[in-house]
Amino acid sequence: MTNATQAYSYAAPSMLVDGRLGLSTSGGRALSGPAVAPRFFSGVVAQAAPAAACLLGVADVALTRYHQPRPGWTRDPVVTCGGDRLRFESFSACGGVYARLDLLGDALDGEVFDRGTTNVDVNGPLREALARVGARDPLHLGVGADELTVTTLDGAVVEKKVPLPERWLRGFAEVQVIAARMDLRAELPGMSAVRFLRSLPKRATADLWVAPVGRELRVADRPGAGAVCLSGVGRLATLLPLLRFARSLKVYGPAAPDGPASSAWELELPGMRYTLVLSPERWRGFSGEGAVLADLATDEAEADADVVGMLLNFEPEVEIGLLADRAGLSSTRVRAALTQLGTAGRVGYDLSEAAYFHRELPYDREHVQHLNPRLTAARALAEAGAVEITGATARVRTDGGVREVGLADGSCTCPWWWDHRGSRGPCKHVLAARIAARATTVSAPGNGAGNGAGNGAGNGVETGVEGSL
Amino acid sequence: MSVWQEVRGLVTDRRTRELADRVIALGDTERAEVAGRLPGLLEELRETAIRTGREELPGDDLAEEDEWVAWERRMAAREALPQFGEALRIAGAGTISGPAAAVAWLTRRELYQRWAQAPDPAQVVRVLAARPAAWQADVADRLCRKIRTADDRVAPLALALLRASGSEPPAHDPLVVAWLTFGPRDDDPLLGTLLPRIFEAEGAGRALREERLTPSPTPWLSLVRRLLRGGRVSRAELLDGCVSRFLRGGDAADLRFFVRLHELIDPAPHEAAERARDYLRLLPASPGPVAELALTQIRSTGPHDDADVEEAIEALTFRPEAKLARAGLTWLDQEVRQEPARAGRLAPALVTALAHTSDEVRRRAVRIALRHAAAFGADAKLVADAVPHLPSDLGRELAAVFGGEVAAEETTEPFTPAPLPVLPTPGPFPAPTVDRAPRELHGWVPFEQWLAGFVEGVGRDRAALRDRLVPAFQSFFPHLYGRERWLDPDAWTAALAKEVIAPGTDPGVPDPEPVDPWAGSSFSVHVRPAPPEEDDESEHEHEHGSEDGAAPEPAFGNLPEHVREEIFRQILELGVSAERVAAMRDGLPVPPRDPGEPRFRVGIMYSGLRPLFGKPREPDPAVEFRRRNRLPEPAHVSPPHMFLLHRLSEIYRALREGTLPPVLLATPTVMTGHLDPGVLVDRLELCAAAGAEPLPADLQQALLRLPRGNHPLAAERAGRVGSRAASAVAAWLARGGLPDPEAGLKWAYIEGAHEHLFEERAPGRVDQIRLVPVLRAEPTGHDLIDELLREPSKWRWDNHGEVMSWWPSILPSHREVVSVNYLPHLLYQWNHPGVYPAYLEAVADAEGPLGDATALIVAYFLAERRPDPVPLLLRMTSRGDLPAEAVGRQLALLIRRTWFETRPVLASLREAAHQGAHEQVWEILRTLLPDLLPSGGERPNVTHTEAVALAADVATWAGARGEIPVVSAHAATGRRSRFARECGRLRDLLAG
Repeated sequence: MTNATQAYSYAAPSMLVDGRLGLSTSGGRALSGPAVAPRFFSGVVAQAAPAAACLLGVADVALTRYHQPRPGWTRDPVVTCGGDRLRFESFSACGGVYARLDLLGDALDGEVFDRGTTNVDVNGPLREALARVGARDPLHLGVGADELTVTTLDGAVVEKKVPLPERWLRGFAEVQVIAARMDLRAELPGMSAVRFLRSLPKRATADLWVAPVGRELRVADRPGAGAVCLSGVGRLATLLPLLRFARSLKVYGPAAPDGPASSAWELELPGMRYTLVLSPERWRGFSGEGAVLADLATDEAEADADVVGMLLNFEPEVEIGLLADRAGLSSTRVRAALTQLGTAGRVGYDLSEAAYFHRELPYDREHVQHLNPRLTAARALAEAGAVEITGATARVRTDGGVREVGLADGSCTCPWWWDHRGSRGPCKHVLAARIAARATTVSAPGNGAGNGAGNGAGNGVETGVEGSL
Repeated sequence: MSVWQEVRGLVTDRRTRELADRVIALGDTERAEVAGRLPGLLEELRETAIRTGREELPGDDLAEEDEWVAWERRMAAREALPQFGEALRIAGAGTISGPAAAVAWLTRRELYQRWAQAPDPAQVVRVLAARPAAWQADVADRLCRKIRTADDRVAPLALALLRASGSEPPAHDPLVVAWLTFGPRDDDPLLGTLLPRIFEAEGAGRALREERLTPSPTPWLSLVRRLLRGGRVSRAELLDGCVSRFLRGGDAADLRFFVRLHELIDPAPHEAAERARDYLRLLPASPGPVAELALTQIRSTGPHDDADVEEAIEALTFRPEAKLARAGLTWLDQEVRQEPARAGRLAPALVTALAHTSDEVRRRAVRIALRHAAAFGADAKLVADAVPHLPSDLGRELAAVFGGEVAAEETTEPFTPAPLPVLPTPGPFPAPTVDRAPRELHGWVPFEQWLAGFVEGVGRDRAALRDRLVPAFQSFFPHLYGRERWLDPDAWTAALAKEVIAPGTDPGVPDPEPVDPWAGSSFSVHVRPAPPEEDDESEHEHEHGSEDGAAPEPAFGNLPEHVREEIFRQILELGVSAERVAAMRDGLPVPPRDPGEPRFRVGIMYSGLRPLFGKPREPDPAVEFRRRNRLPEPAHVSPPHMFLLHRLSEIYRALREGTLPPVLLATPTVMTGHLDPGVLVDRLELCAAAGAEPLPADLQQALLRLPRGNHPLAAERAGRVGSRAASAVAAWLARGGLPDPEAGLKWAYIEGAHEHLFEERAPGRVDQIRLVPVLRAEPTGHDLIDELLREPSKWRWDNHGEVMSWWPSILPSHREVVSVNYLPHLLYQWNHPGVYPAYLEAVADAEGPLGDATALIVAYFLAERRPDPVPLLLRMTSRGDLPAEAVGRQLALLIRRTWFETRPVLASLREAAHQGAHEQVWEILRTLLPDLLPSGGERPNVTHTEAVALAADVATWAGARGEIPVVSAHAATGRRSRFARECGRLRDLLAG
């Protein structure tokens, strides 16, 4: 598949003049439907200095390629207006760092014109002006063209065209699903957070583990109980300028990893939160983690996702129970559907609220969907009848020979599995075998339960049985 | 000749200057014709290159499929085409009409030499400059946008065209970076447009990060200085550029050039005052050097608005750099002195400083707070709230005035060491068995078990043994006999089993093919006339000598024929008569020299293995024996490995010769590898009863496996058995076993190509560290034991370091010898067999004194940390024989002399102390500290402080006493640093 390109077209460059910050928008979706230059918000930001510093942080992440730094294409941050809050998101050029600024209701005082998601322009002069914002300066924020930008500018249109690599886009979408599987591992109050972050090794490529010890966080060089992996200390660089405003630092990680794992770092600032999510290793992007494939492999997830997707309404917090009631689905199926929506870039995950929020990545929808080649390949294998199930094992015929799949433990005899051992999700043969196993379960409801129980574990079978009811 | 013919000829002849002239002179239709035919020419040249490649790298049909051959051909073609690159570019530049097509042609990658510098664009630019201006501008713009990296091959052409055409450079960051990378030129027309862009272009700062002002300005900075002096650039613009670049952010390396540029501009106070707000906003978050510069500028201007001062001080006291935080405190102190009423507004900044990571900053903040205590008034509460975050001593000082809760003493970290692991005494060695598949025979225990079972089986019932071996070994090791040497124990088990399954299968090692003794030698022959003054007796003597009655031999008879031919050819060439030459060649009497004939002298340059004169050396019988028995040369494997192979080979030989005794002597009785002396005598008796003499290597291994100490009962019994082996055992036991060899190591390093010992010469530069094993043993009279106890090589090569996990079982009573043998494999493990904690656990379980070699290996594990060294340390502690002092000493050397760092060592030691080895860890630290702590002109750093702090903690846990002079000396310097205070704490603890 060739890489797509993203064309940004802004009516004018974003600028900050006399305390009025006008962010130009391009493309995306509002409640009312697809938009060219949507207008979401206009009002005063109560905490000017931290807001400006956080916006710079988000812009910095978008600009940086943390692994093997070199100048190259960068993609503009994305802003979502969810009614009572604004979320600015960006994804690093290397595909390994995700940053989000949540400007919460307390920090905003103004008018919301519409809800939705769009790209915002960030440019050199704007960065300079943001760096000049001090605590005593007033800051008025407008997202989308308003009178100010229209009147003060000479109508210089900004057009940018950047390639949109599939792995970058997939990572941007999948990071949400990965974040949804993390739990709070530690919380440090302001000064301890400052001390901890400043005590980290100066070498940007240092890989280490961070574990709570008493009320502090301690650095270790190997995983331990409750430890969070921090690969590439330099990737936390955008947190440092924000420390002077920090009220607390929260660290999130998946349960008990014994090898490199993703981590999330959230700074609580007055009226806002700044979150960084890091990939397991600094040279590894988020795409290809395969965390979501088990959920996606269920047939009904796609249909459910359509139903659930229609009910989202750019809600800043998605309540699964409520959605389940409205959609008439079980909460398990709603979760699977949300995973599906997450990989399609249609929901984000807020760790602090432990809730999904609705936002549609403002990229060509055709590219965002069908981003999972492994799953596509697995479906193709299943459809071609390459899977032959015998009890708890399956034989999958491929061009490279016959692979034996253990349905219970999701193991395979392919070289890819040999390399990664499940650390990057199931391989296509396992997925294909599960799809095929489910198909037999569903088509033969009489012995379905027995088959399912014998065949294995995981989401696949669970939902499969549900499907047959 | 047509125009095309002419141009084509110039291109293929690569006459670039004439080609450029010719192309410039073309008319419109001619241009079109040439442009149209260029792609065809390129195709033709490419095909020629591929064809040439094919001829140079011919392949048969098989090679046709070989992707390496195909790759090499592609490479050859790729090398060949760029030779015509410049000529083709000139032709294209002058003729192609579309700017896009022209740029595509000019940047064709196949026309540029790979890995080479960008070619000189002069001729191409001359041709381009002759085209219409608008066309040039378009091409220049497109070319510039093709630049991607600083050293892009397109960059010189793009820049040269920009200069020649005078068109506006496009806004493209890599263009600016490339312009900077290719160095400054005083009269560069691009200066005016590109210089202002260096402040915006991504990567510009990084490209210039090596520019400096001292000792003398480097090219770009000195150019800017000239421009500034000549008034050719505006100070204000440069200054604005720097400040906005700082505001845009970046790390210290990205901004370094701009900091230096700012220093060069050296703004006057009024210039700084205009940008005061910008400098103020740079204070909190920019990299250290930028913040320092901003602070200098802010302090140079003034007076300031009160709110600005508060903002600046607050930003400064929050800075992680102690220097900036101190500057903030100084400023704060001044402000409060001048106007005590402002103390309250500045209290937050003071509180920030109280929480600083630098101890010095905290102390200064406390002093300032105390000094102005009265001025804080209602805001004293803020200061009081910060008290709990301070260390208790500072907290008490502050609380005495401001109130607040003092933090509890930190030193009383409750310490409850985990109990040391209780290690079971090593169990008995399992009974012999042959019921194991070959792949289960890894590790010495199953192997020895199998070997003992095998020998017993041969003695008892060969047919039954055969039946049990067939399923596992029938098809094991199919190419066994094709191997020249059997280094792997597996090969020997396979050979033993195959000999029982099908006796006599081993065809033996074939005699070596007769080889040309001169193979690989090289000769160069030069015959020249001898100078006439050498017309003396020596030759006469020689001639007389040849007439001495002995039959003359063919001259140079022992040299290869082609060399002889060459010598005689050259002699003939000199003018010596053919008749004499023929006589020399055939060894006939040489006729006397004709007076007209020249004298000559033969010079032969030779390099080769065999001596030039005389007969080739006879093969050494010992070498021949090893070859016949598939044993390696002792120098090619490590001594313990060689010892093992001797044992295996003698069993195989005895099996084939039918002289295998009924039982092996050396099979251990304990899992450490030890052999009970009583059991050994039983086995000797068994052999004697069967009338078989035990095998020598087996006997010598058995001796080495006897436990340490005297065993009079067994000695006496052995003396009565009567066999030769038994009397050797009796003598060995009577002597009390093997006296402990002198074992240890010397630290050496490589500098240049020389190896020096650290103890003999202080290193200048250390290229590589070498651990020189020291091992000196008295001869025992047992040849194989003496060979085993030779000093291991300090280098490793070939098959050194195999079966390392077996070594402790070979020398279970002299474990330090094993450690000495591990030394060459300790450092630089990458891509080599390495030493692991598991091996040393076996060493820990064995017997015998431990010394520096073992200590160094333990130290290495502590510093390396992967895999976890703590279990090993605990095991040795639990066994009660950790050489703690030696470990401390070797740790210090490891940190001082190699790449290992202190912190991982401290982490390992802390873990070990927590897990119950605190007393041993204290011993280690006690010997480590004196060598680790700064001495001479060194300054203490944070790792020194951490080491002393750990030592103080461990000393508390272990209840240690006894002064360490170095620590006392550091404590007594009177400094107020944390290092000095930690030294003081440790000193006081040790004084009790």
